[in-house]
Amino acid sequence: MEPNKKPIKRQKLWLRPTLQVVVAPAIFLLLWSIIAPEYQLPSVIKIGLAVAEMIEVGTYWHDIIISSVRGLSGFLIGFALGAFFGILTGRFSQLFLLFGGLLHFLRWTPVLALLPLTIRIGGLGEQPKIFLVAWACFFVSWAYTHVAVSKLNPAYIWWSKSLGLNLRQRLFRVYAPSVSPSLIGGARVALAVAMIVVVAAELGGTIQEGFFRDGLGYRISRAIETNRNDINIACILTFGLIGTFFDFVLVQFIKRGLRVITGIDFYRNEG
Amino acid sequence: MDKAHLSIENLTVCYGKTVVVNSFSIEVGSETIVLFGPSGCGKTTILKAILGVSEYGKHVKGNILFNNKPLIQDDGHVGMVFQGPVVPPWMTVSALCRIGSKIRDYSATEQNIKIEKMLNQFGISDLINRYPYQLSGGQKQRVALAVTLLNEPSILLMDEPSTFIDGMTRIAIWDFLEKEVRSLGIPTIVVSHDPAEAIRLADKIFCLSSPAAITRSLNVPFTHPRNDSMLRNEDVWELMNTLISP
Repeated sequence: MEPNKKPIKRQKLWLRPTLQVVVAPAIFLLLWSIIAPEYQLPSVIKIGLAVAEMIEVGTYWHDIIISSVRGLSGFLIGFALGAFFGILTGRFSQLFLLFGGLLHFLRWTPVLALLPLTIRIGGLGEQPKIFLVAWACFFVSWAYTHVAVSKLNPAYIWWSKSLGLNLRQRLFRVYAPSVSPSLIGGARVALAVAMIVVVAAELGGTIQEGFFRDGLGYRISRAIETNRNDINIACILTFGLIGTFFDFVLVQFIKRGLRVITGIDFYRNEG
Repeated sequence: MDKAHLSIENLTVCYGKTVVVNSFSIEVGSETIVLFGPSGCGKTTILKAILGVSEYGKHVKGNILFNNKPLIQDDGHVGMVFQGPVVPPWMTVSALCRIGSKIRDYSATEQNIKIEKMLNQFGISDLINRYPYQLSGGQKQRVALAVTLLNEPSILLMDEPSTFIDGMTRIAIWDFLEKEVRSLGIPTIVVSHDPAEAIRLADKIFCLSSPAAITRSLNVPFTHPRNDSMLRNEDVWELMNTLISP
Protein backbone atom coordinates (compact mmCIF):
# COMPACT_ATOMS: atom_id res chain seq x y z
CA MET A 1 0.00 0.00 0.00
CA GLU A 2 2.85 2.39 0.89
CA PRO A 3 4.24 2.94 -2.67
CA ASN A 4 0.83 4.21 -3.86
CA LYS A 5 0.78 7.07 -1.35
CA LYS A 6 3.38 9.38 -2.93
CA PRO A 7 1.98 9.61 -6.47
CA ILE A 8 -1.49 10.43 -5.08
CA LYS A 9 -0.12 13.25 -2.91
CA ARG A 10 1.97 14.62 -5.79
CA GLN A 11 -1.03 14.57 -8.07
CA LYS A 12 -3.12 16.49 -5.51
CA LEU A 13 -0.41 19.08 -4.89
CA TRP A 14 0.11 19.60 -8.59
CA LEU A 15 -3.58 19.61 -9.48
CA ARG A 16 -4.99 22.14 -6.99
CA PRO A 17 -3.11 25.35 -7.96
CA THR A 18 -3.19 24.36 -11.62
CA LEU A 19 -6.97 24.01 -11.55
CA GLN A 20 -7.43 27.23 -9.59
CA VAL A 21 -4.96 29.50 -11.37
CA VAL A 22 -4.70 28.12 -14.89
CA VAL A 23 -7.47 25.73 -15.94
CA ALA A 24 -10.56 27.44 -14.44
CA PRO A 25 -9.60 30.97 -15.65
CA ALA A 26 -8.73 29.52 -19.08
CA ILE A 27 -12.23 27.98 -19.30
CA PHE A 28 -13.73 31.32 -18.22
CA LEU A 29 -11.80 33.25 -20.89
CA LEU A 30 -12.72 30.66 -23.53
CA LEU A 31 -16.42 30.91 -22.65
CA TRP A 32 -16.12 34.72 -22.70
CA SER A 33 -14.56 34.64 -26.17
CA ILE A 34 -17.46 32.49 -27.41
CA ILE A 35 -20.26 34.49 -25.78
CA ALA A 36 -18.85 38.06 -26.12
CA PRO A 37 -19.44 38.64 -29.89
CA GLU A 38 -23.05 37.48 -29.60
CA TYR A 39 -23.86 40.18 -27.01
CA GLN A 40 -21.57 42.85 -28.52
CA LEU A 41 -19.22 42.65 -25.57
CA PRO A 42 -15.52 43.47 -25.91
CA SER A 43 -13.10 40.64 -26.56
CA VAL A 44 -10.50 39.52 -23.99
CA ILE A 45 -7.80 41.33 -25.97
CA LYS A 46 -9.81 44.56 -26.04
CA ILE A 47 -10.26 44.35 -22.26
CA GLY A 48 -6.50 43.87 -21.87
CA LEU A 49 -5.88 46.90 -24.07
CA ALA A 50 -8.32 48.93 -21.95
CA VAL A 51 -6.25 48.07 -18.87
CA ALA A 52 -3.09 49.13 -20.72
CA GLU A 53 -4.79 52.40 -21.67
CA MET A 54 -5.75 53.12 -18.07
CA ILE A 55 -2.21 52.37 -16.92
CA GLU A 56 -0.84 54.73 -19.56
CA VAL A 57 -3.19 57.54 -18.56
CA GLY A 58 -2.25 56.91 -14.93
CA THR A 59 -5.71 56.22 -13.49
CA TYR A 60 -5.56 52.42 -13.10
CA TRP A 61 -3.22 51.96 -10.13
CA HIS A 62 -4.50 55.19 -8.55
CA ASP A 63 -8.10 53.96 -8.73
CA ILE A 64 -7.15 50.53 -7.33
CA ILE A 65 -5.31 52.12 -4.40
CA ILE A 66 -8.10 54.62 -3.68
CA SER A 67 -10.88 52.00 -3.77
CA SER A 68 -8.79 49.56 -1.72
CA VAL A 69 -7.96 52.15 0.94
CA ARG A 70 -11.64 53.13 1.23
CA GLY A 71 -12.73 49.49 1.42
CA LEU A 72 -10.04 48.32 3.83
CA SER A 73 -10.28 51.32 6.19
CA GLY A 74 -14.05 50.96 6.44
CA PHE A 75 -13.73 47.20 6.83
CA LEU A 76 -11.17 47.42 9.64
CA ILE A 77 -13.19 49.99 11.61
CA GLY A 78 -16.55 48.25 11.00
CA PHE A 79 -15.24 44.76 11.67
CA ALA A 80 -13.43 45.70 14.89
CA LEU A 81 -16.43 47.59 16.31
CA GLY A 82 -18.88 44.90 15.17
CA ALA A 83 -16.80 42.10 16.72
CA PHE A 84 -16.50 44.09 19.96
CA PHE A 85 -20.26 44.69 20.20
CA GLY A 86 -20.90 41.08 19.11
CA ILE A 87 -18.80 39.78 21.99
CA LEU A 88 -20.65 42.07 24.43
CA THR A 89 -24.19 41.21 23.26
CA GLY A 90 -23.29 37.52 22.83
CA ARG A 91 -21.79 37.25 26.30
CA PHE A 92 -24.24 39.44 28.23
CA SER A 93 -27.80 38.54 27.34
CA GLN A 94 -29.13 41.60 29.20
CA LEU A 95 -27.20 43.85 26.80
CA PHE A 96 -28.69 41.96 23.87
CA LEU A 97 -32.15 42.40 25.36
CA LEU A 98 -31.48 46.13 25.59
CA PHE A 99 -29.78 46.79 22.23
CA GLY A 100 -30.60 43.71 20.11
CA GLY A 101 -33.83 45.14 18.64
CA LEU A 102 -32.21 48.47 17.73
CA LEU A 103 -29.20 46.79 16.13
CA HIS A 104 -31.42 44.48 14.09
CA PHE A 105 -33.51 47.47 12.98
CA LEU A 106 -30.43 49.45 11.92
CA ARG A 107 -29.03 46.36 10.18
CA TRP A 108 -31.96 46.47 7.78
CA THR A 109 -31.65 50.15 6.87
CA PRO A 110 -30.35 50.45 3.29
CA VAL A 111 -26.77 51.62 3.52
CA LEU A 112 -26.64 53.36 0.13
CA ALA A 113 -29.70 55.41 0.98
CA LEU A 114 -27.55 57.01 3.67
CA LEU A 115 -25.26 58.51 1.03
CA PRO A 116 -26.94 61.96 0.69
CA LEU A 117 -27.31 62.23 4.46
CA THR A 118 -23.66 61.31 4.93
CA ILE A 119 -22.56 64.02 2.49
CA ARG A 120 -24.75 66.61 4.22
CA ILE A 121 -23.33 65.76 7.66
CA GLY A 122 -19.74 64.80 6.79
CA GLY A 123 -19.03 66.89 3.71
CA LEU A 124 -17.10 65.80 0.63
CA GLY A 125 -13.98 64.41 2.34
CA GLU A 126 -12.91 60.79 2.64
CA GLN A 127 -14.44 60.24 6.10
CA PRO A 128 -18.07 59.96 4.99
CA LYS A 129 -17.11 57.35 2.37
CA ILE A 130 -15.21 55.30 4.90
CA PHE A 131 -18.09 55.74 7.36
CA LEU A 132 -20.53 54.20 4.87
CA VAL A 133 -18.32 51.14 4.38
CA ALA A 134 -17.72 50.79 8.13
CA TRP A 135 -21.47 51.07 8.78
CA ALA A 136 -22.20 48.17 6.42
CA CYS A 137 -19.35 46.02 7.77
CA PHE A 138 -20.29 46.68 11.37
CA PHE A 139 -23.62 44.86 11.14
CA VAL A 140 -22.22 41.83 9.29
CA SER A 141 -19.42 41.52 11.82
CA TRP A 142 -21.75 42.11 14.77
CA ALA A 143 -24.26 39.47 13.63
CA TYR A 144 -21.62 36.77 13.04
CA THR A 145 -19.77 37.47 16.30
CA HIS A 146 -22.95 37.70 18.36
CA VAL A 147 -24.19 34.32 17.12
CA ALA A 148 -20.76 32.68 17.61
CA VAL A 149 -20.37 33.96 21.18
CA SER A 150 -23.96 33.39 22.29
CA LYS A 151 -23.90 29.84 20.87
CA LEU A 152 -20.55 28.98 22.49
CA ASN A 153 -20.90 25.41 23.74
CA PRO A 154 -21.59 25.82 27.50
CA ALA A 155 -19.83 22.51 28.12
CA TYR A 156 -16.55 24.24 27.20
CA ILE A 157 -17.20 26.85 29.92
CA TRP A 158 -17.92 24.15 32.52
CA TRP A 159 -14.94 22.07 31.34
CA SER A 160 -12.61 25.10 31.69
CA LYS A 161 -13.92 25.66 35.19
CA SER A 162 -13.47 22.02 36.20
CA LEU A 163 -9.81 22.17 35.08
CA GLY A 164 -9.21 25.46 36.91
CA LEU A 165 -8.25 27.47 33.80
CA ASN A 166 -7.70 31.18 34.41
CA LEU A 167 -9.35 33.91 32.33
CA ARG A 168 -6.43 34.25 29.89
CA GLN A 169 -6.34 30.52 29.22
CA ARG A 170 -10.09 30.35 28.84
CA LEU A 171 -10.05 33.23 26.35
CA PHE A 172 -7.10 32.16 24.23
CA ARG A 173 -7.11 28.38 24.50
CA VAL A 174 -10.83 27.60 24.64
CA TYR A 175 -13.18 30.45 23.70
CA ALA A 176 -11.17 32.08 20.88
CA PRO A 177 -10.56 28.81 18.99
CA SER A 178 -14.18 27.86 19.53
CA VAL A 179 -15.63 31.04 17.98
CA SER A 180 -12.89 31.73 15.43
CA PRO A 181 -14.43 29.82 12.48
CA SER A 182 -17.53 32.05 12.72
CA LEU A 183 -15.36 35.14 13.20
CA ILE A 184 -13.35 34.33 10.09
CA GLY A 185 -16.60 33.70 8.19
CA GLY A 186 -17.90 37.07 9.41
CA ALA A 187 -14.66 38.83 8.46
CA ARG A 188 -14.74 37.40 4.93
CA VAL A 189 -18.37 38.37 4.36
CA ALA A 190 -17.72 41.85 5.87
CA LEU A 191 -14.74 42.33 3.53
CA ALA A 192 -16.86 41.37 0.52
CA VAL A 193 -19.58 43.77 1.70
CA ALA A 194 -16.94 46.50 2.11
CA MET A 195 -15.81 46.17 -1.51
CA ILE A 196 -19.41 46.01 -2.77
CA VAL A 197 -20.35 49.15 -0.81
CA VAL A 198 -17.24 50.96 -2.07
CA VAL A 199 -18.09 50.33 -5.71
CA ALA A 200 -21.80 50.97 -5.18
CA ALA A 201 -21.09 54.21 -3.32
CA GLU A 202 -18.56 55.29 -5.95
CA LEU A 203 -21.13 54.53 -8.64
CA GLY A 204 -23.97 56.26 -6.82
CA GLY A 205 -21.71 59.04 -5.63
CA THR A 206 -21.23 60.39 -9.13
CA ILE A 207 -24.82 61.65 -8.94
CA GLN A 208 -23.76 63.80 -6.00
CA GLU A 209 -21.67 66.58 -7.48
CA GLY A 210 -18.04 66.29 -6.46
CA PHE A 211 -18.44 63.38 -4.06
CA PHE A 212 -16.33 60.97 -6.08
CA ARG A 213 -13.73 61.88 -8.66
CA ASP A 214 -11.72 58.67 -8.50
CA GLY A 215 -11.89 54.99 -7.61
CA LEU A 216 -12.84 51.98 -9.69
CA GLY A 217 -16.57 52.53 -9.14
CA TYR A 218 -16.29 56.10 -10.45
CA ARG A 219 -14.32 54.81 -13.43
CA ILE A 220 -17.09 52.26 -14.15
CA SER A 221 -19.76 54.96 -14.12
CA ARG A 222 -17.64 57.17 -16.42
CA ALA A 223 -17.16 54.20 -18.77
CA ILE A 224 -20.95 53.69 -18.91
CA GLU A 225 -21.47 57.40 -19.71
CA THR A 226 -18.88 57.31 -22.51
CA ASN A 227 -20.05 53.90 -23.80
CA ARG A 228 -16.66 52.23 -23.08
CA ASN A 229 -17.65 48.65 -22.30
CA ASP A 230 -14.02 47.53 -22.39
CA ILE A 231 -13.05 49.87 -19.53
CA ASN A 232 -16.26 49.01 -17.68
CA ILE A 233 -15.53 45.27 -17.75
CA ALA A 234 -11.82 45.76 -17.06
CA CYS A 235 -12.71 47.64 -13.85
CA ILE A 236 -15.29 45.02 -12.82
CA LEU A 237 -12.73 42.21 -13.28
CA THR A 238 -10.13 44.24 -11.40
CA PHE A 239 -12.53 44.47 -8.46
CA GLY A 240 -12.87 40.68 -8.55
CA LEU A 241 -9.10 40.27 -8.54
CA ILE A 242 -8.40 42.64 -5.65
CA GLY A 243 -11.30 41.13 -3.66
CA THR A 244 -9.87 37.63 -4.12
CA PHE A 245 -6.41 38.86 -3.13
CA PHE A 246 -7.65 40.62 0.04
CA ASP A 247 -9.75 37.60 0.99
CA PHE A 248 -6.70 35.32 0.68
CA VAL A 249 -4.50 37.69 2.72
CA LEU A 250 -7.20 38.10 5.38
CA VAL A 251 -7.70 34.35 5.90
CA GLN A 252 -3.95 33.70 6.08
CA PHE A 253 -3.47 36.64 8.44
CA ILE A 254 -6.22 35.52 10.83
CA LYS A 255 -5.19 31.85 10.78
CA ARG A 256 -1.53 32.60 11.44
CA GLY A 257 -2.38 35.36 13.92
CA LEU A 258 -4.58 33.06 15.95
CA ARG A 259 -1.93 30.36 15.86
CA VAL A 260 0.62 32.82 17.28
CA ILE A 261 -1.78 34.14 19.96
CA THR A 262 -3.25 30.82 21.09
CA GLY A 263 -0.30 28.54 20.33
CA ILE A 264 -2.78 26.08 18.83
CA ASP A 265 -3.05 24.96 15.24
CA PHE A 266 -6.77 24.40 15.48
CA TYR A 267 -7.32 24.37 11.72
CA ARG A 268 -5.59 21.01 11.50
CA ASN A 269 -8.90 19.31 12.24
CA GLU A 270 -10.30 20.60 8.95
CA GLY A 271 -8.20 18.05 7.38
CA MET B 1 -3.61 11.52 55.38
CA ASP B 2 -6.98 12.89 56.50
CA LYS B 3 -9.93 11.36 54.79
CA ALA B 4 -11.64 13.71 52.36
CA HIS B 5 -15.23 14.54 53.12
CA LEU B 6 -17.83 16.30 50.99
CA SER B 7 -21.00 17.53 52.62
CA ILE B 8 -23.99 18.91 50.74
CA GLU B 9 -26.64 20.51 52.96
CA ASN B 10 -30.13 21.48 51.80
CA LEU B 11 -29.13 22.14 48.21
CA THR B 12 -32.00 23.74 46.30
CA VAL B 13 -31.67 24.79 42.65
CA CYS B 14 -34.34 26.79 40.82
CA TYR B 15 -34.53 27.98 37.22
CA GLY B 16 -36.85 30.96 37.55
CA LYS B 17 -39.81 29.58 39.48
CA THR B 18 -39.16 25.94 38.56
CA VAL B 19 -37.57 23.92 41.35
CA VAL B 20 -35.14 21.42 39.83
CA VAL B 21 -33.38 20.25 43.00
CA ASN B 22 -35.26 20.30 46.27
CA SER B 23 -33.46 20.34 49.67
CA PHE B 24 -30.89 17.78 48.62
CA SER B 25 -28.45 16.66 51.36
CA ILE B 26 -25.74 13.98 51.26
CA GLU B 27 -22.43 13.18 52.93
CA VAL B 28 -19.69 11.64 50.78
CA GLY B 29 -16.44 10.35 52.26
CA SER B 30 -13.57 8.71 50.38
CA GLU B 31 -15.99 6.58 48.46
CA THR B 32 -18.03 6.38 45.29
CA ILE B 33 -21.70 7.21 45.39
CA VAL B 34 -24.13 6.96 42.52
CA LEU B 35 -27.07 9.29 41.97
CA PHE B 36 -29.61 7.05 40.28
CA GLY B 37 -32.79 8.29 38.70
CA PRO B 38 -34.73 8.81 35.50
CA SER B 39 -33.58 11.24 32.80
CA GLY B 40 -34.43 14.85 33.52
CA CYS B 41 -34.85 14.43 37.27
CA GLY B 42 -32.06 16.93 38.06
CA LYS B 43 -29.04 14.65 38.62
CA THR B 44 -26.77 16.65 36.33
CA THR B 45 -28.00 19.90 37.90
CA ILE B 46 -26.66 18.65 41.26
CA LEU B 47 -23.24 18.03 39.69
CA LYS B 48 -23.26 21.47 38.06
CA ALA B 49 -24.13 23.05 41.41
CA ILE B 50 -21.17 21.27 43.04
CA LEU B 51 -18.93 22.44 40.18
CA GLY B 52 -20.24 25.98 40.71
CA VAL B 53 -21.61 26.55 37.23
CA SER B 54 -23.57 29.78 37.01
CA GLU B 55 -26.33 30.00 34.43
CA TYR B 56 -28.73 32.77 33.51
CA GLY B 57 -31.88 32.60 35.65
CA LYS B 58 -30.48 29.92 37.95
CA HIS B 59 -30.63 30.29 41.74
CA VAL B 60 -28.71 27.99 44.08
CA LYS B 61 -29.29 27.78 47.84
CA GLY B 62 -27.69 25.55 50.45
CA ASN B 63 -24.17 24.75 51.65
CA ILE B 64 -21.47 22.70 49.93
CA LEU B 65 -18.63 21.94 52.33
CA PHE B 66 -15.36 20.13 51.69
CA ASN B 67 -13.57 18.97 54.85
CA ASN B 68 -15.95 21.23 56.82
CA LYS B 69 -14.99 24.38 54.86
CA PRO B 70 -16.93 26.00 52.00
CA LEU B 71 -15.89 24.28 48.78
CA ILE B 72 -13.57 26.32 46.53
CA GLN B 73 -14.89 25.70 43.04
CA ASP B 74 -12.59 27.76 40.81
CA ASP B 75 -9.12 26.29 40.98
CA GLY B 76 -9.64 22.83 39.55
CA HIS B 77 -10.51 21.18 42.90
CA VAL B 78 -13.68 19.76 41.41
CA GLY B 79 -12.95 17.57 38.40
CA MET B 80 -15.87 16.70 36.18
CA VAL B 81 -16.26 14.20 33.36
CA PHE B 82 -19.17 15.25 31.20
CA GLN B 83 -21.85 13.22 29.50
CA GLY B 84 -20.82 13.05 25.83
CA PRO B 85 -17.10 13.73 26.49
CA VAL B 86 -15.84 17.31 26.22
CA VAL B 87 -12.64 17.21 24.19
CA PRO B 88 -12.11 20.48 22.27
CA PRO B 89 -11.32 19.48 18.68
CA TRP B 90 -8.51 21.99 18.17
CA MET B 91 -6.14 20.40 20.70
CA THR B 92 -4.17 17.16 20.46
CA VAL B 93 -4.45 14.59 23.24
CA SER B 94 -1.03 15.75 24.44
CA ALA B 95 -2.14 19.42 24.62
CA LEU B 96 -5.38 18.42 26.37
CA CYS B 97 -3.43 16.45 28.99
CA ARG B 98 -1.29 19.53 29.77
CA ILE B 99 -4.04 22.14 29.99
CA GLY B 100 -5.23 21.70 33.61
CA SER B 101 -4.13 24.24 36.23
CA LYS B 102 -2.50 21.68 38.53
CA ILE B 103 -0.61 19.60 35.95
CA ARG B 104 1.05 22.83 34.79
CA ASP B 105 2.62 23.22 38.25
CA TYR B 106 4.93 20.32 37.39
CA SER B 107 8.07 20.57 35.25
CA ALA B 108 7.86 19.43 31.62
CA THR B 109 9.68 16.18 32.47
CA GLU B 110 7.34 15.41 35.37
CA GLN B 111 4.35 16.23 33.15
CA ASN B 112 5.60 13.80 30.50
CA ILE B 113 6.05 11.01 33.06
CA LYS B 114 2.59 11.55 34.56
CA ILE B 115 0.89 11.76 31.17
CA GLU B 116 2.64 8.66 29.88
CA LYS B 117 1.69 6.72 33.01
CA MET B 118 -1.94 7.84 32.89
CA LEU B 119 -2.37 7.17 29.17
CA ASN B 120 -0.75 3.75 29.60
CA GLN B 121 -3.24 2.91 32.35
CA PHE B 122 -6.05 3.78 29.93
CA GLY B 123 -4.39 1.91 27.07
CA ILE B 124 -4.37 5.03 24.88
CA SER B 125 -0.68 6.04 24.94
CA ASP B 126 -0.46 5.60 21.16
CA LEU B 127 -3.09 8.33 20.67
CA ILE B 128 -1.03 11.11 22.26
CA ASN B 129 -0.48 13.10 19.05
CA ARG B 130 -3.96 12.63 17.65
CA TYR B 131 -6.76 15.17 17.40
CA PRO B 132 -10.19 14.32 18.85
CA TYR B 133 -11.72 13.94 15.37
CA GLN B 134 -9.33 11.00 14.91
CA LEU B 135 -10.68 9.20 18.02
CA SER B 136 -13.67 6.92 18.57
CA GLY B 137 -16.35 7.72 21.18
CA GLY B 138 -14.81 5.35 23.72
CA GLN B 139 -11.32 6.76 23.16
CA LYS B 140 -12.64 10.31 23.62
CA GLN B 141 -14.27 9.32 26.91
CA ARG B 142 -11.00 7.79 28.14
CA VAL B 143 -9.08 10.91 27.10
CA ALA B 144 -11.63 13.12 28.92
CA LEU B 145 -11.27 11.03 32.07
CA ALA B 146 -7.46 11.02 31.82
CA VAL B 147 -7.38 14.83 31.39
CA THR B 148 -9.57 15.26 34.48
CA LEU B 149 -7.54 12.85 36.63
CA LEU B 150 -4.20 14.35 35.53
CA ASN B 151 -5.36 17.59 37.13
CA GLU B 152 -5.51 15.78 40.50
CA PRO B 153 -9.00 16.82 41.58
CA SER B 154 -10.04 16.70 45.24
CA ILE B 155 -13.56 15.69 44.21
CA LEU B 156 -14.52 13.75 41.10
CA LEU B 157 -17.91 14.14 39.39
CA MET B 158 -18.94 11.92 36.50
CA ASP B 159 -22.05 12.48 34.45
CA GLU B 160 -23.09 9.15 32.91
CA PRO B 161 -19.51 8.15 32.07
CA SER B 162 -20.44 5.15 29.96
CA THR B 163 -23.24 6.63 27.85
CA PHE B 164 -22.54 6.69 24.09
CA ILE B 165 -19.79 4.05 24.29
CA ASP B 166 -19.70 0.41 23.27
CA GLY B 167 -20.03 -2.51 25.71
CA MET B 168 -16.36 -3.54 25.74
CA THR B 169 -15.13 0.02 26.33
CA ARG B 170 -17.76 0.45 29.04
CA ILE B 171 -16.38 -2.57 30.91
CA ALA B 172 -12.81 -1.25 30.45
CA ILE B 173 -13.84 2.12 31.92
CA TRP B 174 -15.63 0.48 34.85
CA ASP B 175 -12.52 -1.63 35.53
CA PHE B 176 -10.35 1.48 35.41
CA LEU B 177 -12.61 3.37 37.79
CA GLU B 178 -12.61 0.37 40.13
CA LYS B 179 -8.81 -0.03 40.11
CA GLU B 180 -7.36 3.44 39.70
CA VAL B 181 -9.92 6.03 40.77
CA ARG B 182 -10.96 4.20 43.95
CA SER B 183 -7.31 4.07 45.06
CA LEU B 184 -7.16 7.91 44.94
CA GLY B 185 -9.50 8.00 47.95
CA ILE B 186 -11.39 11.09 46.79
CA PRO B 187 -15.15 11.65 47.07
CA THR B 188 -16.57 10.49 43.75
CA ILE B 189 -20.12 11.16 42.61
CA VAL B 190 -21.38 9.32 39.54
CA VAL B 191 -24.67 10.14 37.85
CA SER B 192 -26.26 7.18 36.13
CA HIS B 193 -29.54 5.67 35.03
CA ASP B 194 -27.95 2.29 34.31
CA PRO B 195 -28.55 -0.14 37.25
CA ALA B 196 -25.58 -2.35 36.26
CA GLU B 197 -23.25 0.65 36.23
CA ALA B 198 -24.61 1.87 39.57
CA ILE B 199 -24.01 -1.49 41.29
CA ARG B 200 -20.59 -2.01 39.65
CA LEU B 201 -19.23 1.33 40.84
CA ALA B 202 -21.10 2.47 43.96
CA ASP B 203 -20.56 2.05 47.67
CA LYS B 204 -23.91 3.77 48.12
CA ILE B 205 -26.72 4.45 45.69
CA PHE B 206 -29.11 7.37 46.15
CA CYS B 207 -32.35 7.03 44.20
CA LEU B 208 -33.78 10.36 43.11
CA SER B 209 -37.21 11.50 42.01
CA SER B 210 -38.14 14.65 40.13
CA PRO B 211 -37.39 17.39 41.31
CA ALA B 212 -34.11 15.85 42.48
CA ALA B 213 -34.79 14.73 46.01
CA ILE B 214 -33.64 11.48 47.59
CA THR B 215 -36.41 8.90 47.77
CA ARG B 216 -34.20 6.15 49.23
CA SER B 217 -30.57 5.14 49.66
CA LEU B 218 -29.09 1.66 49.25
CA ASN B 219 -25.77 0.36 50.51
CA VAL B 220 -24.03 -1.84 47.97
CA PRO B 221 -22.61 -4.65 50.12
CA PHE B 222 -20.26 -6.28 47.58
CA THR B 223 -16.55 -6.16 48.29
CA HIS B 224 -13.97 -4.44 46.12
CA PRO B 225 -12.33 -5.01 43.73
CA ARG B 226 -15.41 -5.80 41.69
CA ASN B 227 -15.42 -7.09 38.17
CA ASP B 228 -17.97 -7.90 35.52
CA SER B 229 -18.50 -11.48 36.70
CA MET B 230 -20.28 -10.06 39.79
CA LEU B 231 -23.19 -9.10 37.53
CA ARG B 232 -24.04 -12.82 37.27
CA ASN B 233 -24.47 -13.04 41.06
CA GLU B 234 -28.09 -13.60 42.21
CA ASP B 235 -27.73 -11.04 45.02
CA VAL B 236 -26.78 -8.44 42.42
CA TRP B 237 -29.91 -9.24 40.42
CA GLU B 238 -31.98 -8.86 43.57
CA LEU B 239 -30.39 -5.47 44.27
CA MET B 240 -30.95 -4.46 40.67
CA ASN B 241 -34.64 -5.36 40.97
CA THR B 242 -34.89 -3.30 44.15
CA LEU B 243 -33.23 -0.41 42.35
CA ILE B 244 -35.55 -0.35 39.37
CA SER B 245 -38.75 -1.09 41.27
CA PRO B 246 -40.87 2.03 41.83
